[in-house]
Amino acid sequence: MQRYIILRIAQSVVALLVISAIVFALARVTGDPVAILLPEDASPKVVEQIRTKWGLDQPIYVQYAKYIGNFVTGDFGEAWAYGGVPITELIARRLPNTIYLASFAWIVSAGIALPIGVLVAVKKDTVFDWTGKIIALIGQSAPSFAIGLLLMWVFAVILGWLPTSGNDAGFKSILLPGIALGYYNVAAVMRLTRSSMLEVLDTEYVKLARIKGMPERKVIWKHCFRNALIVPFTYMGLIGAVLLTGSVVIETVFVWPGLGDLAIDAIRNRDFPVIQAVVILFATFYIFINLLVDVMYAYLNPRIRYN
Amino acid sequence: MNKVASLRASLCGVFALALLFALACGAPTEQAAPSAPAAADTQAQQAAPDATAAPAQQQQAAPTATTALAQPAGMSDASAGGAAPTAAPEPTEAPAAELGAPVQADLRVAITPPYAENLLGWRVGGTNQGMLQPMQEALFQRDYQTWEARPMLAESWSVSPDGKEWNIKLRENVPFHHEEDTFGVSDFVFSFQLWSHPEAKTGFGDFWHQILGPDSDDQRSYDVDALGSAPTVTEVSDSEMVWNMNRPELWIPFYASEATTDPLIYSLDYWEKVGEGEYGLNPVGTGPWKFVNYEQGARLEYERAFDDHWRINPDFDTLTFFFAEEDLTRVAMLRAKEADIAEIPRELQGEIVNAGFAITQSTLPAFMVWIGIGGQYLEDRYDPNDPNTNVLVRRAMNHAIDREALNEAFFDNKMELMANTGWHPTDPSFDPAWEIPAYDPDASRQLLAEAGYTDGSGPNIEFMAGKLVGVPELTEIAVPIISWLEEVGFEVDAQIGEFQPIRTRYKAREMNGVLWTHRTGFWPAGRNMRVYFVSPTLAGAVYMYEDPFTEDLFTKWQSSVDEAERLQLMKDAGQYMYDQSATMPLGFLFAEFGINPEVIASYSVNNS
Repeated sequence: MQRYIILRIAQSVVALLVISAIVFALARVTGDPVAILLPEDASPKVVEQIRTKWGLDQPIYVQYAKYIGNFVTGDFGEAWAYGGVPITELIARRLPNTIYLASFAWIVSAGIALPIGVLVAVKKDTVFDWTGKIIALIGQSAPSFAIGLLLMWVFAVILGWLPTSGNDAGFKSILLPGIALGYYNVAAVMRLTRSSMLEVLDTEYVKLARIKGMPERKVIWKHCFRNALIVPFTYMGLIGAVLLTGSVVIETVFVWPGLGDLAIDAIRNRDFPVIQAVVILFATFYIFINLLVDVMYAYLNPRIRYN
Repeated sequence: MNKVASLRASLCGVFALALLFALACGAPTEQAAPSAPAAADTQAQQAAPDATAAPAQQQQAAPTATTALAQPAGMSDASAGGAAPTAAPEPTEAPAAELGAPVQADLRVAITPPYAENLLGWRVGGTNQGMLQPMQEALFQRDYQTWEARPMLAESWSVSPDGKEWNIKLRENVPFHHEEDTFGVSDFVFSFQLWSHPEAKTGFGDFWHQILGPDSDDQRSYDVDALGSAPTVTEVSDSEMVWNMNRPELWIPFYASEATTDPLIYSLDYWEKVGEGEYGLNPVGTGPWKFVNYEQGARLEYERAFDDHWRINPDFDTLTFFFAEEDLTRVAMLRAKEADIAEIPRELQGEIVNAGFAITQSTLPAFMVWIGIGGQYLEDRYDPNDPNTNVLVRRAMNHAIDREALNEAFFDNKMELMANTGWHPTDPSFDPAWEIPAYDPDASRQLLAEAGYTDGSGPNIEFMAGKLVGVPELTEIAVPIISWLEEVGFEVDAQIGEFQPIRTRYKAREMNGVLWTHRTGFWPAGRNMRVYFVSPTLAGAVYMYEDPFTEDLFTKWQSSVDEAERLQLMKDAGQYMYDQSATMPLGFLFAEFGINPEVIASYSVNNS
């Protein structure tokens, strides 16, 4: 196990390096940031001064080497579009909002998908099963921003129950973006839960429990659900990473000041250091959570061992 | 958008924010009725030797305060007295409401985020500073009907006969928000040092350098010991100074006005007490609104700064800007009444009006929309084979397109058509004899034939179009324009997408054979000349037309201190460019916002 973890960490470092190189190169393909960030009537002299200050006058491999050198020491550089604010400061301000939103969306996903998954498995081929499938299908097929705008229109504009956007109305603020973000994953988790539950419901020990007269509620939630949880649980771990890194559109629609919103602004402004920092941070989340899920999976199911 | 500088900057941001700022403030009741058809050179007049402006308190006196169903705007009296912009479309009428006490204490405004956010405006520059204008003031302000300079923190001023020495009397006893300091000469000099600092991204940074004098490099130093003093500014007293230039410059009241967004005033005292870091977190100014809270990417909150501000007393207790990137989010905010004013794109305005909200627009245009004809580098990069250098071809281009059809199809007839790019009818150097180029495909074909394109295959040109904040239609209008050009014989290679490649090419002076749609701010003709129609040696910025003749006129205009001569020089430049069909003018567009008429009862706003 230890060897496996070390190997995965080494693989993760290589993956991060590759990702950083790709992001570094791609960001520069999109055009000259100086032309965007300086006023149109800035003179060539001023343009050159800024270009030199940001190191854009140097060969790209020199820029990359310097960037990586600073990055490993925790120095992400300065945000050009924010007048030289340290990127670590920007990320520190925004990251808690993104984690909060992703966590809530995760709870929404789990809170909707797991009970429905159990219900449709227990009530297989009934109206409950079909209704659950339709709910899941809508979540899977509608883009999250469309769901978000629809929710905003109904609950904020028409009913006036919730705020349209922002994060300044306490718990009410998180509801719409959290549901819009979490709903997308409901279908997959629900179907996994359903199939896993059906498999467990068909096992001998469950049949025995029923024959022995154990109450149905106890059979389902104590014996079936716990054993059926391993597969959806693994998937939900991965969803955690997806929610953390995939909130870009939702944060923009709901004016949620998180990392996704920051990433969109950075892309718009060609603020290379911010784009690089956010993408690498997202990649790190993803890789780390994958690793964590793998390790926990092994602990949860002792029959699984990695070679 | 746009988001974009237009991005983070386009002039849209500043126009939008300052417009909103005007909405947010109480109307100055006694603002002097604008005189005459002034404009660009009215500022020269204003700046004429020994001309002393009346104290601002007399011109823009007491706040109306009473608003409410508020009368939030700050410019209503000016607009009432000023000349209406030619062919200005009527704003949507808001339902009538009686003035009374404000229905709410807060004014909430939903806008697209600025390109760059920083509470130290000089670090992000240009239009990004619009969101700071409620808090910070400048030496001068501009009358948005007449272009005349008006007092702001400068109470009166005069300029020496040679145009090189500006004697400026500053308003006394104007406190900063930390209330431990009042505005004085050292604050101006300190602010001036920030605008021209090497790390400043202010649009006029290089201009300040040009006028500073032989030891101008010292001005860009950032030596803390030198803050607040500069060799080119002589302190007569704490509230009076002489600003020395190395060349005549009669437009100081324009360049140092809030209209250009750069020259905001910072407190030296506060900076020295708290340092740059804290200043950037909790900024202060002298404006009617005081900083309260800022959440990056989400909102910026102000509250009324003083019980009795020297210039404007806002009608509301608080002012909050919400930064919402998505158009539909802003629409929802307005409809849910979470915002009282919102930036609404033209295509969604109908929905807002149908839902009982209103659309308001600026008194003067906010944008100038035109098509650049690249390659007119008539000196060092002149290419006789470039069709764009042939005046007959340029005239043919101008007659090939149907401006009225464009206006109807894309702008709901709200665009004020333009005869000569850079010259608005309110500018004194505008000639009423100039005509909007008529749509005449036959004339266009005839002109091409005269230019030597007789075999049916017209000139090969590139057409580039990219989106810019404020006028997203720039890419959409390209399609019919290209079609009309092809109809009369042009062979067009179209590139429609982002604006960035366009900017990169014109900055590199590589626009030979290229046409491109462009959106720029609304400025006096002299400023347009400097930015768009002169070469880099004269500090131009968009290198598309560099003609020795007009550059000579511009140089003379810039160094002249004779008002009549300056006016004539600018008229001559405009006439020459009109005769030469130097560009393809399209029109002027107004800044427009959706408002909640239950909160905003009357409105009359400027374009900045």
